[in-house]
Amino acid sequence: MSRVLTWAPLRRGAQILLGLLFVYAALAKISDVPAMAREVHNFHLVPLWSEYLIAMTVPWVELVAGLAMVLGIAPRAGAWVCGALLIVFTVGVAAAMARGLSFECGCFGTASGMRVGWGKLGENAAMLVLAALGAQRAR
Amino acid sequence: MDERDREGTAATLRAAALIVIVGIVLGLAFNAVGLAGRPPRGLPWIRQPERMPSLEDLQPASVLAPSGMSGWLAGLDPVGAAWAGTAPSRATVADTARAARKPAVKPATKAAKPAVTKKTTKAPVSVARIQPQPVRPAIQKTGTPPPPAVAIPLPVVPDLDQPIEVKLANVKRFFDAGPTAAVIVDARESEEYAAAHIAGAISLPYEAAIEKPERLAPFKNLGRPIIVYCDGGDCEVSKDLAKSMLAEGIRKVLVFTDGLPAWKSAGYPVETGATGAQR
Repeated sequence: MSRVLTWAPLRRGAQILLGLLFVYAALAKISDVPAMAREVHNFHLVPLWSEYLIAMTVPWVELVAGLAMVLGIAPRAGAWVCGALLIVFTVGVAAAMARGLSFECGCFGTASGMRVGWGKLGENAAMLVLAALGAQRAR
Repeated sequence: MDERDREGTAATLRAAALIVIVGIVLGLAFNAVGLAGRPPRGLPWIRQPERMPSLEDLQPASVLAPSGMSGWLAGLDPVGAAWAGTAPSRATVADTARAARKPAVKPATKAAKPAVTKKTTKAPVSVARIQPQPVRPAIQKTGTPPPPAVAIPLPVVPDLDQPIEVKLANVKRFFDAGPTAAVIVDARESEEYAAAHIAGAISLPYEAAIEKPERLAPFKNLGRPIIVYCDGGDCEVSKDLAKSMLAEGIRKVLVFTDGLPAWKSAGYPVETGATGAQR
């Protein structure tokens, strides 16, 4: 099993796929930072003063991590960063669901229109699997 | 884990930290460039809580009660106050045409009809349209006409270039005065509007207004205040929609910051469905 997980083509494929997803999501957010700020606000998880700072920096971290994976510059590190971000996003979505909130998560910008909910949790879980595969060490 | 693995993990962690730092620096730099542009396109570095002027604080002295009783007066319902006989000394009959639309203006004819009185005491919906008021058995028994109709004038909405906060009591006063007094707009999404909204409110989701600014055109030159609301609390879309309206040249935009939760808690009329009834 571990040999399958560390199989180089699978690892590299997961890194490229996850990297492309993160680059796409990052560009969608960077193109409309005020919308990203609104989505951050909707989660009600961070202090008000920090919302703009998060909205203006997190998409760029996603972009750099995604490019690192796609271009193969630091693919494992990129997968780690993406995995950490996905864990944070998943906790945010779960917390919003627990509080009965319903809003567009803005995870892929405002164009996707996907709302927080079980679908979004499933999507994050799938991407976490890709991140775990991408973070495997080459043998 | 051997030495080579440890070194590999440490290198990966360093690279991950570098990715995070580079991303943060790029984000801050991108925003700084946006702020330096003309017109500025970036976000402020620190988000400050927005403070809107309050409609209650902006009322001219002529509309308020003497000796700083504005807060007390703003909480009064014109109908309930007139019936209770507590407000006439401070209230003025400023707009008889507006007052004629209110139930309190026609008590003489209504009180003479027992069936109408019976209906108002039985039907919770009609009671909810006005403030709770004491039962008036003496009027029914003796046929004594009620006190003269007195209505507190609606608040004066100043023509500012920024949204104005309005409280529940004044929203209810506008609501009771009918659709010619103010337009109530629900800034939430269509599904939320369909689930429950202030009776007679018009749905105009903020996102839809941003995507299609022409949807704001019908609100121009209405000649009456527009009251925008959403879900209260930290809900921002009512403020955002109000700003969009002002940017489109629409004036007298009020934001009911306490929103639908406060309206529902007060037991005021709520509708469901995708199309709001016309008041």
